[in-house]
Amino acid sequence: MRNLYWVIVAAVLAVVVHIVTLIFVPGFFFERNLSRLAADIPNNKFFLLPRDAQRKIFPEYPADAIFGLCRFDLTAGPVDLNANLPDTYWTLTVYSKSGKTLYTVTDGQSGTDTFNLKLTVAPGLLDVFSAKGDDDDDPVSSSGWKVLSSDVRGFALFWVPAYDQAQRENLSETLAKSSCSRASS
Amino acid sequence: MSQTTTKLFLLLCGLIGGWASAMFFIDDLGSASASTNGNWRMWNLGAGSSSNPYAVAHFLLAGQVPPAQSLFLIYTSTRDDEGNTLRSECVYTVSSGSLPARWWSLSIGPSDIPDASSVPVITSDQIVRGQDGSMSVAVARHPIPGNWVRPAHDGNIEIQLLVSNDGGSQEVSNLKLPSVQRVGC
Repeated sequence: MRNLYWVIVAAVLAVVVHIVTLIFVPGFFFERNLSRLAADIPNNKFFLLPRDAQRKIFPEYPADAIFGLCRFDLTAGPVDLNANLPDTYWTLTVYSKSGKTLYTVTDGQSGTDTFNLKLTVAPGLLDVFSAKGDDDDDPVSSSGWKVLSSDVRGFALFWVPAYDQAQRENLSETLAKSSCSRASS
Repeated sequence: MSQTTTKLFLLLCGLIGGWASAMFFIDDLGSASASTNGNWRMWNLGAGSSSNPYAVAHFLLAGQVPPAQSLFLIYTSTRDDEGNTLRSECVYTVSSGSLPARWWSLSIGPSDIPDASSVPVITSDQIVRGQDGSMSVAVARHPIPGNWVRPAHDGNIEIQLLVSNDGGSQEVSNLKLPSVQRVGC
């Protein structure tokens, strides 16, 4: 009977370890890997992923593909992502730090190759209930797109395919004009 | 066995059991059989599905970014059509009719051992098609005329097919996946 108690404790421990291994460990390892590959790039700054890092993180894409990344941190407030994309096939995906997809858009869906995306923290349950319908969005000033993130940290990822090295250089030049920075209040 | 030893043993079982079950289910539950012909498996990265955390963990633990399912579908195969494990020292032909997708890539994993001379990816932009739109790609360590990909890894290999899901086309979800035939070893 005394052992039954410890068997139950072991079973509960197994469930907890299973969930932690599944939910938190992969995100931790990925974030550590990403930090190592782009160690000198601060948060809230847009950069093109170097080829070596690209090959490790995106092995299923050819070396000539272009990846632009912004690791965002919303602790101090919203972040503005100003996209400048070439007139070709591209995708944008916003991920939480644990790899959850928060938002996606492609060239076909956006209808434009230059746009502004505001990344903000999603309101908590208490904020939702305490809100009095005072939506602070001014319809004129908030004409850009907005992504509400359940996580304060994450990353936005642009992908643009290229046929060869020459095209890669041209497309990179356009994409490099994108920016990511703390939103001005 | 003393009571303390029994308790410690049970806790250790819970700890290892939870971790081992997570690692097992990440590969087993994260993907599902994708077709009746061949041995392709599709990674279920759709938001809200019960297998999603397992599929996401599979990519994150490998240091890779999981593709957003609204943008890409990802299929993998570790066996040829006869059910034999894919090995880098063998030669395979991956063939298919025209894939009804805006963009796709066929790559050979794993790519964790960098091999500068390897060409482990071919895309829809690069492939030379037959007159009827069909495609045939050789997988081999040595050069083969025509479409050819070279594994970057010795030993067991995995074929990955990444297919653009732009627009969520019905055609893509009913995709007829390529056959994988062993030519020789």
